[in-house]
Amino acid sequence: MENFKLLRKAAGALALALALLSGTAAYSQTLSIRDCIASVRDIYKVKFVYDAELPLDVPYPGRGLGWVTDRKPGAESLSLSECLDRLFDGSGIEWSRKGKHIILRQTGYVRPRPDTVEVTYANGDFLTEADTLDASKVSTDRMKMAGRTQTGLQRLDADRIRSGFAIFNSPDVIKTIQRLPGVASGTELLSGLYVHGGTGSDNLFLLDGVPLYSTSHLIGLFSSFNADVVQDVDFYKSGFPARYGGRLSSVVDVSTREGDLYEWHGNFSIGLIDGRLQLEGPLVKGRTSINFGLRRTWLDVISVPAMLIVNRSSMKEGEKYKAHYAFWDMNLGITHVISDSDRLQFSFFNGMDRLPIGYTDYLTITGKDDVTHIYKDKMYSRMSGNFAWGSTTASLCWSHTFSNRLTSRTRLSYGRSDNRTGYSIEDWSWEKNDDESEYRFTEGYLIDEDNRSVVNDFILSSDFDWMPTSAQRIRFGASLQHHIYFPDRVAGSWQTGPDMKKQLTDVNSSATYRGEEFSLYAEDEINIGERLTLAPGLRYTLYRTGRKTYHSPEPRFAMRLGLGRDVDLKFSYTDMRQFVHLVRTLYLEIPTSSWLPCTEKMKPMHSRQIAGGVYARLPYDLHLEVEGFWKTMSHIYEYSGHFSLYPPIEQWESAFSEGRGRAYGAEIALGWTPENTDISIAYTLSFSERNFPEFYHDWYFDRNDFRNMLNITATHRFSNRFEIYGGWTYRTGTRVTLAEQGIDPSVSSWTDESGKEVVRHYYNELYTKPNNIRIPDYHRLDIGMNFKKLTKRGNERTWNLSIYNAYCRMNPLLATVSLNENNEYVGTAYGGIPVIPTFSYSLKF
Amino acid sequence: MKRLTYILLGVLLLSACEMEFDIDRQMSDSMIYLRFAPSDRSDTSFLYIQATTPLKDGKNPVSTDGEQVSVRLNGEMLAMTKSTGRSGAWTSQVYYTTRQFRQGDIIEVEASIPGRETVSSSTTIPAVIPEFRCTPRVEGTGVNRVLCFDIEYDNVPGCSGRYAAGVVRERYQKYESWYGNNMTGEDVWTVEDESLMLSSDYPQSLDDNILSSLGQEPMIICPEALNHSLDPTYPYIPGDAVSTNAMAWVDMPGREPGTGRQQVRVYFDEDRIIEALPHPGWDDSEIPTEAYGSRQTTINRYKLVFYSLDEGAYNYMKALSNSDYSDISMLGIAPVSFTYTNIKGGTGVCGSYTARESEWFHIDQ
Repeated sequence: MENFKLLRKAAGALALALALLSGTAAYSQTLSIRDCIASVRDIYKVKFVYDAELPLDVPYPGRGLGWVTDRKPGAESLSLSECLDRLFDGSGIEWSRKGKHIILRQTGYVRPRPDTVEVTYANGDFLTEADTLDASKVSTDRMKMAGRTQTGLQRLDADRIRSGFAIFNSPDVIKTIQRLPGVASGTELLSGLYVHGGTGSDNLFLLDGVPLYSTSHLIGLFSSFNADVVQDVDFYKSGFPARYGGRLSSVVDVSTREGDLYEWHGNFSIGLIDGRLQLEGPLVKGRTSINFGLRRTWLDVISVPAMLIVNRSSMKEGEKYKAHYAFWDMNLGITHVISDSDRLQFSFFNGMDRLPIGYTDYLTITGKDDVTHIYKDKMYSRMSGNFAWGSTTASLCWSHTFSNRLTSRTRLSYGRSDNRTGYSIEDWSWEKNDDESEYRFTEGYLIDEDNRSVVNDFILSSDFDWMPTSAQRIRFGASLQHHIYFPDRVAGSWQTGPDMKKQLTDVNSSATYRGEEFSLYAEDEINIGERLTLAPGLRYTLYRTGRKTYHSPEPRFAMRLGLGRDVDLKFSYTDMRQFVHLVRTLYLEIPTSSWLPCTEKMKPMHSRQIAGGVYARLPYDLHLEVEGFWKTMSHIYEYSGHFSLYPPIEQWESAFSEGRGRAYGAEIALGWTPENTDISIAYTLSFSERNFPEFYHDWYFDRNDFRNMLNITATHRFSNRFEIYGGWTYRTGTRVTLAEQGIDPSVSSWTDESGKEVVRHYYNELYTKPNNIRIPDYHRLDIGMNFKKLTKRGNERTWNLSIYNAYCRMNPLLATVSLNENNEYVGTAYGGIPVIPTFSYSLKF
Repeated sequence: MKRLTYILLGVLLLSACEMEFDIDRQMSDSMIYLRFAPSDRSDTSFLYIQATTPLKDGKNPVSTDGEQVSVRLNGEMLAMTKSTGRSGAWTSQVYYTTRQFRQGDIIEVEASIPGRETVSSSTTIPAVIPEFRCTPRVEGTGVNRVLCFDIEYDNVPGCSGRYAAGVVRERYQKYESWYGNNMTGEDVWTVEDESLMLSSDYPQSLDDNILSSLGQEPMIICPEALNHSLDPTYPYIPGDAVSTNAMAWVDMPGREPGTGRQQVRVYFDEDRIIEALPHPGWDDSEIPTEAYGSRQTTINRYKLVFYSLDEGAYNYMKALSNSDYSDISMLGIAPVSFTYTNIKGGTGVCGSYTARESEWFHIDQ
């Protein structure tokens, strides 16, 4: 009852805030494209058909379409085609006409936003119904950040992702994001997103609105997002709108594309180790469409002959190896247009990695004992392991348009993350003397272990999008999530002898944790005049786990102040909570970790972040972003127990220490985008610190304290048939904890074989501070090129050649300090991912 | 499980390329190492201070000269006497006080060595664990037998919530051997009595590997390390192996609401049960009939020691315990849980503890 009262109060406060804000904005008059569409619809008596995801709510300055926006008589003096051309020019939206229906689609190439289109008329006046267009000049700019209120937002369209580097045939969403300012990638095997001092487990990945817990394939070289079906990606590293919550550091909101309602087409691609197929088209023309994407490696198939070759020689020595890796993912989207104002969308995703490994070893030894007996020992060893991890999501979304100012989206969804690891090791031995005919069993042991970590999410959410005036956009909604976390571990080991069987260990632990999460949010975006935009928001979450209930109000605020037409100042404040912890004992991207909810002892993680910056369009197709951020984190947790491959399940709370974090830095991004070329340079200077009293009495640098990060990417289209891509990534090395001081020295000296006296100093080594040493920097160059050609049937085929880590930098993963032969302590770093050349063939049909 | 980790890591390292990198510029200069662990258990508390040698310059060990130590007890200066017995140029300088510390005493330390940053730290003697009742027993059968202790005590406000436990074993061993042959018809007996192992090497004779959890914090799992580190006669060797190959657990963590009574079960791990329980062969009291042979008789008795630790001592001991299992973490691919210092400006620990012991008991099974 108390919670209900709190909820009512929170809802009341939100409503009051919205009402106040709505009144404030009544003075603004800026129109959006959606408003213009409404006018066109009324004037020309046509109907528009479009995907609800289309960005129609961006402000439209009203220039050049005064006859529509003002709805003055004589508007029909322009033809419908001319009107639509002007309306959507540079919006990234293309139109086509089917009778009275105007069908809108997002084009592959996103041209400038309407608010960056400058139309100048010969007489210097805006077009009215009486004007005659003598001349016009349209200048475009692909500056993404200008004109938007949020700091830290990057929208990646499908083209940008597909034009990026493709490893093993697959353009990658996460790799594209990793090149943005303020974002760092881990080393291969420790891959991930490290955003503004985050840990990699505090990023919210949404696939069509459903959270994904694991987003990588093949130890982080691939992400789970198939670029063939991705429509766009909204990536936030600060300035999070209130509609997002549940993670501390970033939001990666991936939307898949709806299938084409009128035509069948697709894409097929085959590479060295993987292949992709994407197919879309109408199931019922104009009403129901399907979009299907499938991706799979055949490393497991390729590895069969490879293992045969390996085993052919090793079998002679009694050894046999097995290693087959495969991953796949499948996306399915079905869209049904019920009416002009209603549509249903079903989307399904399943991605899985499997890695079975093993070896067997038969060994026979013949020897002679101390007396005279000749004996034979026969030994058999076997190890088998099976790693499998993946996710499944399914959602059903109903989009409804109440009016041209109010739309809603109600979603019922399910998400599942499933990590499994299991292995079995056994050793058996027999022996016999020369006077015996049969082998006698002597001893053996067996270790068997299975671990599993499953998360099930059931989510019901409803989101509303309301534009009370052309200058104000209000979003509000609620979601109810039910989480079930199920870590499970069964392990046993046995030792056996001729007359004995002994169980050494017996672990059978599992636990089920549940979490109920209820969220309300409201956010408003108000244009006050032409220069100022405010975006306040509030999110409230009630999280209940066990007997504990957490109330979490999360205020958000963003503002944009335009300094002229080409320069924006922005500022944002965000407050985020995370109710789920990644419980892990190892940073490697292997599925031995578990997601578990906050409990009575493990509080929700909390972050506060302020960010601000200048975003400018410069002459000569240049654009510049300079952004700074300051972020604090509290109630963050780090494993503090003995090293173990698997974290404890039943008493995990006692094995984690609570601490704080802070991160701050500045980011500069410079882009140059003339026709056919896109060059961007992103530099980040950042500091990331931690304070865990259980490890150190003061602040110390985080292991992911990447002080300097530089990403340079360039694409150039030489012609319609040939384009190249290059990307260079640099960041300061990861930090590790190594001994750096010694006490109680002792000296040993001796004479070596050459008669030279050797002196060695030995110390009791001290680890004085966590993360005290930086291993060598990470850098690599990726290059790629596409050769395109149209087939006789008009289909586009592409040969792609890509080289990952072109100059074969062995980027270090781990490091040690040791005494070398010269009696000097030296650091040694180890890295293992070399140059990887790949090529692929793709066909669009 | 660990074997699998090593297999994975081995594959990684075998396929990896190694490169040496410069650590000289990253390593800090010589600093002060200080260790001070006052408690209510002894009438003498020792303080160790030493100038560390940066490993980057390991060929030139640093000596400790001109150190200054200042200790305040509840705000008043406490005289520390420099010991001459164990001092050496390359080893710690040792100071001691015979002041008996009590629960709630606040001790502040400041120390300096010319050329190094001055260090400081403080500790508060934690509340003593109240009298407890301890009942040892054996649970399970066969190989799944575990030796455990049921412990009950009444809660005391002010207890730190950070505890460690240790078991002290007193061992009496008698070794007998004999040789008889037909020539003399006389058996020859030799009897060797080992002295009780309790006295001088008290800490080393602990049956370590006890894990428990009392109250808010998990219990230190290596009382051996606790004793080694806090025992002034035993030099602390960070990173040195402390035997903690135990997996033990607690039955009833947390306090029972409303009763004010804490119940805890402390378990020996499976490996130790063999040692802890009487060995069947050793208890054979029959006179041997063979012509020659030997036998050994061992009698063990135990007592349980509970330590109450302040935050510094607890974190230090836990890090020390973790260091034995942190070979993976030390490579930088797992969370760091093996470092701790609360010496501002330097390294080491200033932590205090109190302790209470049970009565001696025998395990008869």
